[in-house]
Amino acid sequence: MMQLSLHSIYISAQAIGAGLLLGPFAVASLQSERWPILVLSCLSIVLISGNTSIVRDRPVGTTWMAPVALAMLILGLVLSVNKLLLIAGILLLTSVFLTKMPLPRCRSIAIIACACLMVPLPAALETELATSLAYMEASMFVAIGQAMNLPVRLSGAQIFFEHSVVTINQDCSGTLLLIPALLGSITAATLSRKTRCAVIAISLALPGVLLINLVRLAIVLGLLANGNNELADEWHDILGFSALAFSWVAPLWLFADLEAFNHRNTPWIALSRALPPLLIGGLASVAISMSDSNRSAPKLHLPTYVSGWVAEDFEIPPEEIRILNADHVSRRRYTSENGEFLLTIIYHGDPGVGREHSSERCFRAMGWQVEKHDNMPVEDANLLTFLTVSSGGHRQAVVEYEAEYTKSSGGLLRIQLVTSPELTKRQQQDLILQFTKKTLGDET
Amino acid sequence: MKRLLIFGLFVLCTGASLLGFLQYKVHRKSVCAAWLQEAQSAEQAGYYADAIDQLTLYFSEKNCRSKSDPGAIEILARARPMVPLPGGGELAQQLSLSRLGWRLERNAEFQLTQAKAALAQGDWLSASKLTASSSSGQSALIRIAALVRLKNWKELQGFVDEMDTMSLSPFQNALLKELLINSPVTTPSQPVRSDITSLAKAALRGGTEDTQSLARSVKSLLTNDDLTIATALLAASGRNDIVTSLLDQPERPLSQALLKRLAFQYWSKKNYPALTNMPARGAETPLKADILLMICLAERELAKRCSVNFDVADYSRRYGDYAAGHWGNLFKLLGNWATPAHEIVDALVTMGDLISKGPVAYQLLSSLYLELDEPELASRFERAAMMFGLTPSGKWHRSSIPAWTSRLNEGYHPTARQLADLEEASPDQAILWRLVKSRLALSKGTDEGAAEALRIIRPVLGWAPEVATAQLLAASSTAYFGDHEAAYGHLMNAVKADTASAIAALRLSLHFYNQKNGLTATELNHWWESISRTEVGNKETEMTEAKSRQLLVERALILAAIAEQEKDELLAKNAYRSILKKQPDHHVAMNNLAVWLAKDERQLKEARKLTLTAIALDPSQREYLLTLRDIDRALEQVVES
Repeated sequence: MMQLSLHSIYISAQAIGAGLLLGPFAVASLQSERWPILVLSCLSIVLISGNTSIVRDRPVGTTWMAPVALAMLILGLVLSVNKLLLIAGILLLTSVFLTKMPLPRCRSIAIIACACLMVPLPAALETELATSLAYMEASMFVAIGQAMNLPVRLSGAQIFFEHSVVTINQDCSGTLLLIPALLGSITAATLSRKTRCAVIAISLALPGVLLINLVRLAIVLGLLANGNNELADEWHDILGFSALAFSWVAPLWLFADLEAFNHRNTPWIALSRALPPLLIGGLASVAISMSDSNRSAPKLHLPTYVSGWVAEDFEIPPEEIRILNADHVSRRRYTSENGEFLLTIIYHGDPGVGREHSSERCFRAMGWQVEKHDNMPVEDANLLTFLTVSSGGHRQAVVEYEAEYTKSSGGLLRIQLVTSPELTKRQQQDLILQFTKKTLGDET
Repeated sequence: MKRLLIFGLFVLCTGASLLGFLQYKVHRKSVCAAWLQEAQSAEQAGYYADAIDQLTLYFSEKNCRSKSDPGAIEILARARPMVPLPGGGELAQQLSLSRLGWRLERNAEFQLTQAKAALAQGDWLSASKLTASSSSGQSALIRIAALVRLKNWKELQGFVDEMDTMSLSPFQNALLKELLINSPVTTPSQPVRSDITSLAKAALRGGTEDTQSLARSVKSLLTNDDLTIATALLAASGRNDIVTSLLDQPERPLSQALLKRLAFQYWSKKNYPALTNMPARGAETPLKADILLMICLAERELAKRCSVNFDVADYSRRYGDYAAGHWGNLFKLLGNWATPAHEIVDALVTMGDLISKGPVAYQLLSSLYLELDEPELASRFERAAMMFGLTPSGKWHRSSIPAWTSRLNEGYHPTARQLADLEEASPDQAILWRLVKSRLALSKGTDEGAAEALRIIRPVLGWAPEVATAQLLAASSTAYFGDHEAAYGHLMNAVKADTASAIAALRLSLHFYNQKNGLTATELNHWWESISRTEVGNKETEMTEAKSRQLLVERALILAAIAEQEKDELLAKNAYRSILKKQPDHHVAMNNLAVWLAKDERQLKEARKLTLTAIALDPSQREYLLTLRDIDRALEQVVES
């Protein structure tokens, strides 16, 4: 009896831990466009666990999972890597699940994989992946177009068609489709009767995503080429969500044996016992994170006038705000007899998140071609980065000042200057340092 | 058997893929060749923008890069200057292109343009070098003219000996003889008609013979190349009548450059009927937009309408979207007689480089600005038009500047609604609404208001720096932000532009000082002195030295009086010292300075010295004796303590 009670406490502790680690992430995901990924992951887990086909495979042990999760938790805290904390939470959650419902090894691994796919890739990796996909898709489009004797040409991830330009950026590259495609493939592989089908299902995930996204982009590009910009914007999103569902369903439809699924096979009652501690942990961490976020971001104001440069507020596109995911962001346009430039101040309360949002990555994510020139340390710990970015034949110089903001709870501050590429590096440096000094004084 | 079948299938698939790939490569090559061919054809037919589009496709594709690249660059270099880009970007691209292909630099056609520019600048050496590798008639004549100027007879003789004079037209042969007439160089003689020789003489050296009848007799004998050379030389020497006579050949297809020259001759002579008949005459390609603009304006002069046929789509294929869009918009506006003046000005101003070489556009802008009650901007464009002998004329458009604007100088404060109406009826590049709006923004007394005021008024400082009110507004805005260096600069500019604004500048500087955001008493004193000196300097012709000094002293006295009233010790001391520097015997300033100095025990001795001098200068002043008594008492107290 005593032994059983200790076991229950152990399971409950794991569930609370999972709740604590995953609560704010789950809430944020459900509020963002990532909610379909969470839903599809859960559906995949249900399908895999409900598989009734007989497998001569021993159930996987769960005792290793909690220590591994703990190690990841410590590592994540020491290195300030949030993703490791989320993986630790996922491991605790699957540990609870697999303890309540022991499954053969391959299905257990599939469930762990599906759960891990809920966690978004690190921003840097996602941007790199998205850029590569965008370049690949743009090249394929242009090759097909030119084979059809259409006057299309390529520049980076931009497609030039007569006098219009279409940029394949992070949003359109289909990076998000990769996850449902992988979820669908893993689920189909687990539900398929033959090993050959399982291998094909997994290996077709990437080409399948490319194909689905190409079809989606072809429709959007067709609308853009006809000048239906608003309609293209609408269909961009509609087709995006449809493609998300389709890339999950397609491998299941092609390779899975859905007759092997029986919903009664899932131990709902046993699992429901783990739900209260999971919810308690989740709600507690959401409450903590909300009170944490109530501590407002520092009041940062770009100056109205500096040595002949006069400011006016400048609206930031919603797409950019979303990509930046910052606690404070504001932009002003400065003009003088010598020209004009844009200055943006970006503050991330979490320096880890802040570091993922460098100008270089954000411009890449928006489909710009980026050429990095130099990194220059200034004022001991702060950093200046010089870039030249181009899009649709338009070039501009970008200088970024990055500093730890010591006045608040150690967030990361970026001041980004976008100006004419004709200014020399020295002029760019003088300009940004002049404005940084005026904006921050001795605050960093 | 099954394995054999799979292997066969594998080999078949691999072979098919390989073949497909090779076929794809061949197709890519053919696509590259087709792009280049289409570019060439388009450029030859005058569709420069189409040619550039095809070449852009060609250069964007790595597979296209081959031995044919220099040929592609040559086509691009010919087409690029014909397709304008915003901000004159086509010229920058042309320059970067000239650095790319070695064949381009040696291409005679491109060298000719540069040689013409060198000749116009009097750079004879460059002109002779640039035409060294060319065999065209124009290049040869430029080279000969340059070598004659350089008196390089040896090289000239060698060049003339090698020259194939048979390839020159009779007119060019006649010009050659005329060029070499006073040189020791001998040329093989070609028989030339006497009237052509007379024309060559007239083109090179002028003359008093009846050039009109001469032109009429020879014009049909000249080639288009001859006409280009002859009309350029004759126009440069101001013989416009003969230029018109030479080009007035309605049945003959002329180049765009010659047609433009002819149209300009008609326009400057106000020969509007001839201009309106131009669309019916022969031309190598459809008329360019700057010629159509003259025709359109001539139609408006004659019949209050403009019905030129401007084919935007065709023009776009020839000269690009940028040019076609802007010209199309302008002709649409000019096509409607009721279009307000400000809309036409906005259209013209946004055209920037497209009209920068067009004197007619400057003339039009000048006239429109006069109608819009913007004399400063009108004179700016009038100066540009007058360089080509054109003056503003005609009442082409209607403008609706509200009547209340005439009362602005009397201090009238318009309402926000009135200001919005004025802005609505004005072009973006205008001064009046900017002055009013800037003043209104500044009066808000906020950071945003001051920034807005400066942002609105700043362009005016570039367009018309002589507008003193704009300078004063800029000074107020910059001073609001504590940038006193910039404010001082603007105040000085205002006084330089208009001495009548000196009083306003002095008042403003005092206002800035009273705002207490960084302007010191020493600086204020310096500003007053500098402003007054500039005012005096500008009035130098009408003021004697004594009067000038008197004015400077009076200004310093006013400042001192203000300081006394405000009990501002530092300002007062500075003002009195300033007076004494200009008028060392000003005993009132001495006494008053002594009073202020006496407040500091370290300066009592200097104060006493000043008072004694003041008493010596005017012993009748009881005040000075009292000052001396106070200083002596203070000194005694210091000694006692």
